[in-house]
Amino acid sequence: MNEFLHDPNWSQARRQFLKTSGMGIAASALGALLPQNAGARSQAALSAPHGRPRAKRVIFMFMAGAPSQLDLFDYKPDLHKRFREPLPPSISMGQRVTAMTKGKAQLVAPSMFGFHQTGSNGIWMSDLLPHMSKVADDLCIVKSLNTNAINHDPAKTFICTGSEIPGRASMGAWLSYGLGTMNRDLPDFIVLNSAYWTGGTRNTQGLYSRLWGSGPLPSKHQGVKFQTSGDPVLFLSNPKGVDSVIRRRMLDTVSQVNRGHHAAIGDPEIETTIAQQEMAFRMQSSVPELTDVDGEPEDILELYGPEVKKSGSFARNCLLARRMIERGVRFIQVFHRGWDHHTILPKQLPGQAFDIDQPCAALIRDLKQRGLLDDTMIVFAGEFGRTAFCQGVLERDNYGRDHHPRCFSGWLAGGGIKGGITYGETDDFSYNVVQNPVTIRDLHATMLHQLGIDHERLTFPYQGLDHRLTGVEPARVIHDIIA
Amino acid sequence: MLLFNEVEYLKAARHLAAGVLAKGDRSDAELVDAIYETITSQLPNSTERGSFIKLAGDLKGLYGKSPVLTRELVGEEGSPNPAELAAWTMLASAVYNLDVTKNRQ
Repeated sequence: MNEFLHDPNWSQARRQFLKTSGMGIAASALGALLPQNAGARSQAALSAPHGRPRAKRVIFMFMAGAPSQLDLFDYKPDLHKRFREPLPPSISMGQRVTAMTKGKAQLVAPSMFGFHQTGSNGIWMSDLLPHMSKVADDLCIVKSLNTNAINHDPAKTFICTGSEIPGRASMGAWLSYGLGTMNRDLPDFIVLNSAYWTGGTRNTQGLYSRLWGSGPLPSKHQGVKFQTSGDPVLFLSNPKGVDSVIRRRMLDTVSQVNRGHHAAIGDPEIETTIAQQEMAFRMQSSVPELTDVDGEPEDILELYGPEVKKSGSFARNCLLARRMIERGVRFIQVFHRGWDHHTILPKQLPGQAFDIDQPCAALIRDLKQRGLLDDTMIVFAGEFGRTAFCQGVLERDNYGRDHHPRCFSGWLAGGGIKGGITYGETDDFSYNVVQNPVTIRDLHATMLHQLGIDHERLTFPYQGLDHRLTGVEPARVIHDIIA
Repeated sequence: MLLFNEVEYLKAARHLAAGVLAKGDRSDAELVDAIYETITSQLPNSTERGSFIKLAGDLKGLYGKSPVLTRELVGEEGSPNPAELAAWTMLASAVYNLDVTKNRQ
């Protein structure tokens, strides 16, 4: 019996089974035989870590909408000689494009933005990122990311959950499940959305909770989204007429009765409920302390830039991410939207770059000066890249770029990743990867590896499959970028 | 957290408590049973009943000592004994927050 209760597959399914098979009476009889301390952590989770972890925590900067690699990281100066020329068929190879540009001329649009070399290895970086440029020696810029999906929703779902099909567990949920908690007063996985962005609001997609969901994993592993105004967590504060003494007294009875119920039927979701209610109570004091940045010294605020003073800004969220890292939050996902630049890219991109440039650099510096960058991994990426050919009006200083899954750039920093390098190469048009491709699965496998997890061994049995973040197709750890 | 702290849920709890109290002079055990059965369509077992009776007693004491919290929770309702209404409101809120309620088991 004990084994059954500890087996997540069996116990997850149990409530459903007992319900649908009309075994109500048998269930209570069975319940009386079951032990009272059903496993809070699953067997699979207990097997991690599998190797020596280099990182304990992750900050995932997700640029929703897909930034243009051609205008930020993947320098292709020769394209200026090919302005308005058709993309050669030897490059495009008849590969799928979106319905938006299907059948249209594919005319080359070089980046109008300057690039410069930076860091001890002379990495090329866009002039739009002057602050990032100064921390280039801490960055590993991966130019050869590629994905399967060509539209936002499946591509976002893929990079956040390892599958284009909705309903799988997200990265943060896997880490919470596999590695457990480092601070029982805060969630393992916190989601921070930027309330606004500078590059215009056309072509902005919504964000949906499945991107930080727990899928088939117990729901206590899902991400907790912080609000940008009011209570950071919805309904965190006690209502009028309830103080912490009364709340505590009431919660004691609720937990006690729930525990009795759990002892009777063994459903692990009751444990989740108890844990969440108790966590909510502790968060009533831990979260206000976490999100109160009044005590931050002026030089730290200056490091993150002027936007840090505005609640809900990307800069503020970077500062909050640092405070969460200090307090042992395992996984923080920071969303920044507005990168879907199908048209008038040159008007929109500088504002977007402004939003993220200084705060990203500041976060790297701030973690470093506190000795936290060594075991904190920062990952920055969108869901795909953008085309070398133009969508819509094409001028030297006005162009747009369509979705492009075959190559895009992201970067990693800290957590035992080599700094001051680039990895992977694209062709002369930044259209296909020509060297060292990195799939989304490879990225996930590498991230897990740095956290001490073998991506093939962190599994969860569900619907007849041992699910894992990297799925069933091949995934490899990119050892070349590991320090 | 929504169920705990959102004011409309709390209003529902207060309304239920007021309705149960309005039915006249009943023991704490009867009041617990009435609230529990209204919310979950079943009666509490004896352990649960005991826990809730104790909770009701403690809440009556806590609200009895704090007229400010009582007024914030129930306003002008519940006279002549608003602390009583406040206590039973929080008890109903506790039952609303049980796993048996949320998952209809």
